[in-house]
Amino acid sequence: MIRLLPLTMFAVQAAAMQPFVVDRWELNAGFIHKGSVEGMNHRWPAKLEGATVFSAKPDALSFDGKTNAIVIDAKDGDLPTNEFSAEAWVAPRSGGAWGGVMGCIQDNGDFERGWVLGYKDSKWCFAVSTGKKLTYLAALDTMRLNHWAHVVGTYDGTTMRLFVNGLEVANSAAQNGPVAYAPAPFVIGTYRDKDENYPFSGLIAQATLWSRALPMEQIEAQFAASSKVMNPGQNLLLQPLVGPWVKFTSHDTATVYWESEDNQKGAVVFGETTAFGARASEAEASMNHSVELRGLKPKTKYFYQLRFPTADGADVGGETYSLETDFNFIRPPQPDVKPFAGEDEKAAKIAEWWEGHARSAVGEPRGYILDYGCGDGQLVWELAKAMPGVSVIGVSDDAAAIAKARAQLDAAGVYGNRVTLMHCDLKKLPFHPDTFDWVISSDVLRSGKVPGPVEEALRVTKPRSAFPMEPPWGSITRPEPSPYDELGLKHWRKWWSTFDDRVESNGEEGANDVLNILHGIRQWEGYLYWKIAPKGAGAWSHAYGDASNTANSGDSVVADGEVGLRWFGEPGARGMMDRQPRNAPPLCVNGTFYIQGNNRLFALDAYNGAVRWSVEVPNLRRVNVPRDSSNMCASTYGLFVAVKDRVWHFSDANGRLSHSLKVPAEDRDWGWLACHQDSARSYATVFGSTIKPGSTYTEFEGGEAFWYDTHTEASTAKVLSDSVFAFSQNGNWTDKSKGVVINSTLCLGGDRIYFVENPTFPFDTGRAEKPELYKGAQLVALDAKTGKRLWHKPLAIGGLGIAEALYLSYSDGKLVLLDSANKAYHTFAFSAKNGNELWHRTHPWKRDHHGGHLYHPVIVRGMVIVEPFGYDLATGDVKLSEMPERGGCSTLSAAKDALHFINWDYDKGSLYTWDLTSGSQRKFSGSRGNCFLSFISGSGMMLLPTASGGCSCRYPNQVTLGFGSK
Amino acid sequence: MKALVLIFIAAPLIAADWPTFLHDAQRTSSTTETLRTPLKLAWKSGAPEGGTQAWPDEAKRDEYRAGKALVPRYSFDRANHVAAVGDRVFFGSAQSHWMRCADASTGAVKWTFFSDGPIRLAPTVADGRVYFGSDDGSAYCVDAAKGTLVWKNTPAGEASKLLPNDGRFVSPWAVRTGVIVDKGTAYFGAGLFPHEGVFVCAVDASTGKITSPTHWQHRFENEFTPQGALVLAEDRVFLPAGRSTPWMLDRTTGKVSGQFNDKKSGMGTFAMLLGDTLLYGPADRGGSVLTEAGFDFKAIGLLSGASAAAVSSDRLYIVGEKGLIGVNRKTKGVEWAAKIPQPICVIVAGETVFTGGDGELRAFSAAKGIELWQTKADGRILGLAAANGRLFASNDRGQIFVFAAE
Repeated sequence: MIRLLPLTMFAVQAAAMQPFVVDRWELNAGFIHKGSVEGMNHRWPAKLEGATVFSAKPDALSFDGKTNAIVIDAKDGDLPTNEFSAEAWVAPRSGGAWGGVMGCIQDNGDFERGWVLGYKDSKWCFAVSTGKKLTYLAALDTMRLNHWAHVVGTYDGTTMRLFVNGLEVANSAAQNGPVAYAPAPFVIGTYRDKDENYPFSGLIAQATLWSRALPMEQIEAQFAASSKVMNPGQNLLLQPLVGPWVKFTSHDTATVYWESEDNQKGAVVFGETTAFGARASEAEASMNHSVELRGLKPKTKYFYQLRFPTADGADVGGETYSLETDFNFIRPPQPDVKPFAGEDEKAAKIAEWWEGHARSAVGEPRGYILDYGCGDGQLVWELAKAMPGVSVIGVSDDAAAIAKARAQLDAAGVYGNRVTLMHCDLKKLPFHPDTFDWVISSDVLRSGKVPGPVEEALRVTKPRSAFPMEPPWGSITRPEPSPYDELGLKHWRKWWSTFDDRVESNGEEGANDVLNILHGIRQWEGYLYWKIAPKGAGAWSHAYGDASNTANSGDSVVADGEVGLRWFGEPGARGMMDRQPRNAPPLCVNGTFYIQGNNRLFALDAYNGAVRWSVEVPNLRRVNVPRDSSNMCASTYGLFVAVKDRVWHFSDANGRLSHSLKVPAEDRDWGWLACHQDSARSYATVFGSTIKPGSTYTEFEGGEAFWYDTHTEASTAKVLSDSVFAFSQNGNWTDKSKGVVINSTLCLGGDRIYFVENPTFPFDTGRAEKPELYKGAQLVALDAKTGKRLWHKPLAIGGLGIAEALYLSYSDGKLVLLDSANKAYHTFAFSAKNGNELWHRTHPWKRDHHGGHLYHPVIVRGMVIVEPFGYDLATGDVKLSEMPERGGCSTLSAAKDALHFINWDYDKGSLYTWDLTSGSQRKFSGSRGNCFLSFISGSGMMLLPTASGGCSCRYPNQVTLGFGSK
Repeated sequence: MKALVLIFIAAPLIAADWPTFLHDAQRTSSTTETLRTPLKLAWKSGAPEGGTQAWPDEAKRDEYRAGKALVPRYSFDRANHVAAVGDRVFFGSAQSHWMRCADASTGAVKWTFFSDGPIRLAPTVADGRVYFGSDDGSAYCVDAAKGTLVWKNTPAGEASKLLPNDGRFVSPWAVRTGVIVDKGTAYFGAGLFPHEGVFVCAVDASTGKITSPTHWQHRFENEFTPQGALVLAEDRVFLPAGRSTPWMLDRTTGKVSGQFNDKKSGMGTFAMLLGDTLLYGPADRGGSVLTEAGFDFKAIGLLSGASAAAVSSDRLYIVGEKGLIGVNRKTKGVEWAAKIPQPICVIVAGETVFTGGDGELRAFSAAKGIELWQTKADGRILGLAAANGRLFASNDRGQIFVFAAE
């Protein structure tokens, strides 16, 4: 077979092989065929494990970080011993604790042999053993991800040297004599010995093994000769300024959004494979791009790539992303049929009016509409036709009318497809309270008379929705009092709107929402009643309930466990991450339930489960939250999410990206994220911290290594920040740490920010787990408005050993630090005023697996709950010493006077509520959550996303659930 | 091959009904009906439906199992399955909420009965009546000739409110077991969520009420979810339980005997009685599997890679990852195997085995596994029935295709 060699920058070198080359592996299609890898000297057979994926310009082999490795069948005694060099051109995609580029090594503490060129703690490293313990040389700087690097390790029998991009970055004389080998595999693309395997993720273009220690001059020359082609200064991933993110905008269309630094004509290539095949472009140049990908098939994975213009007028592709239309919940539009013999023009006009008004208020209308007294059903049909994202149900007490309308719609083939009709008693509708986005009435529109008790229609209208009392086209005199005032409606606010969009309000709760809704109304005159959230409704705005990390929503509506199921449905398990890797908890604020899936976000109506919007966001994923912090928080206006170096804000109603903020530092990503509103109507101040790019945990596929439940550094290393900052209407500020801030401890309390800092620990890796991190740690308080340091106090946690988890919470003027270390929970309380210790308690873990060592504290009713104890927040006295026996791997959450938890049950999977006032517990069998925190409360609801994705246990239901008060 | 065909042609054709889901209360997927291949499409029902799937899809993988692909556990919720009796065919619609009776030879609609929610399982036709359950929380009995209501039983009563569920309204006490009728008693379950309480009922088939000591209605809380077609033995009721494993109840009293929960049990809504054992699945943590267990709940056999089966007196026909195989029931030995793209469903009609798969239907000789016929089909074929000279195929788009001899 004749194979054509690709033209690579190494072709010349290959043609004239240099002396002392034991072998050289050019990792491109010319030398890899059906898994067989040929060296230039054909010295040994070699096999590629995993799939073969090449990149071009320059040609290189892509290693997936999971399955790929090249195993070279070198016999004992074949590898150089007295002196050698290992050289490679590599572009890492991600870093981590360990990874190998090339080597033959055994490292198990009491037996260390061989050598390896790779990385350690995301720094290039080179290790050699001559029979003693391995000596690891490491560069000072971390690797530049997605940049080509020329990495060389040399050993001449006395001195080891490490070179990166032609410069010597480390050396050592700790080893002496010939290299001592173990019977370990000689591999490229992984760090592998008989106990461990740390595959490399990224590209390798060439690897060379030399039988001599290359002199510096030769290394410099080889770097210089190749660097014009390899271009180490260029980021391989062309990136937009912001984005991309994708929203489904019709049943077969996804719109890709991104922002660029200058005016460009946006273009996207897409297809079912990475060969793409289709292209969509913008007509006009802009900095805010939106490109529609049309004609997408349902339940299909697509790949897409933004195209960036080049100087010669062409364009070049950036990173390849993917989207899945499984998570497009927009139904196809209704067919163009006429179910009714005599078309009612008025119904069509009203539907058009509703659609226009709803669209201007919330974007693509979603949810449920009830036609209370639906007459002949024509308005139900017209509304469903006008709004593909809405389901419309008409109810009437006229059985004959319903039967006739059903038959007409069914004959046209449209009955049941978001259009349903029901004969029922209008005094007792078969729906729970707070179900419908809008309740309208064909009967009212036609006759002016409400066909049943208005209270019943109002009962089933959900909070944050309106019930219009008059026909929208009528011009009527404003009656005082409103004829509906006599109903004495609880939880409703009355508004009067006139043609000129002037809204008179009483300034109470819901003002912003109503103004938003009415903003789009151009033909309205009449009373509009606005339903506010149930009294006592709380919020779950941050990963641990609030920015103070209390793990408590403050919700009193669902506290007693007297709740019933209100809705169920999507998102299901398919779009979520596996349940194991300690994912970002969901949020619920102001009636919106935010769920983070696998690189996607869902915003559901908390009261009826309608998916208001969803977006696909590449690079969103963040896992192992207990050792980091979440990348989401919410205000009454919408959702903040941290993506790489920015935080994005999506509007709660429609998922529009309203703005983004970049971290106030170069070469940093956004780490911790929090927001604070002075009131429901004020804009939020946004807080953040700066982390090293690539320091967050993102991997979850691959089994136990990504459950983050073990006691090794791979699970427990803390993500660190080197500054804390705020964006506020009153001014921005940054507090630069001299050392590191431990992300998992950042919290807000009152007007302050608190955290654990180590002012002497180096920030270099961005993620660390060493005893030194805790020695010299201090508790710090900042003024949240100015960033000014108010106090700091040394912490006596250095002697407790490495923390498996370290959390900080604030409540009632006190700080609670939970250090889970050395098989015990160490709970400390400090005065938030000055950091003085108030008390501390220690109790052992009940188990060291399944999250038994990772519980987050819950602060409820003046107690700090650290299972199985509840300590008095003020004194540390034990207030609770018996907690329900809990299996499973989740942590507790709380409402105002209740605890919510999950008990692992293979057969049934059970949620529980524990009313702390009455002591009663209620069990909800049938579903389960994930291995961290997924069962929350807020907006008067108890909520559980399908967080148990991937769990193939025997519990019967796997679906997102919303419970409301009975 | 030619000789075999001649034998078939010479054999007398036997006409039989298919009165319920998978033919009978034991869900054998087996009939004495004989169909002569090749078959051709006689008619099909309706335009493709959308958005009718009852439950969201499973996750792609279980990372605990090192990323093995997961198998859907619901076998009823993506197709409109049929019952066929005499010259009529009866089927419900998950989208349009009705039960329909059509002329089996032409598809002409005889009558349509609307419920207030999706109808997801095939009806049972017995004694001139049609029995079915709806997601609106009720079991229905209508007159088979006229489509008029005979009785309606809503176990949860007025508590049975309708909840938003992915654009539909569904009762938490949806009837997703179908209604199976035997010896004058109608059996069904109602309820999806153990925490809301669920019902299992045995009522007088003619009135829908409890009229004898062997009739009962029980409410179970925090126990199971009755989802999947009920299976009846002489003195037992077997209750598929959604994503979980089946439960067994005493048929006379309705008391729970226990759950099939051997560690390696298949999970999901497939259940079939094999005399004195139950075959159930179709998924476990590592892929497709059907488990055979005795009434003492102990597993006595595992069919790895299998997802559905049909059983005749002498042979078990299994479909799954390996295609279609015929297994001798006495010896348990594989008599023949047909390596075809993974079939999804299987029935046996006389001496012919029919399979439905992704975009195709096939027929095989039951004795030798020789392929007799195949045709293309729209969508994934999830349900089959054979009755009175016709083959009925239900796809994942809510459509029904009816084939008859050429």
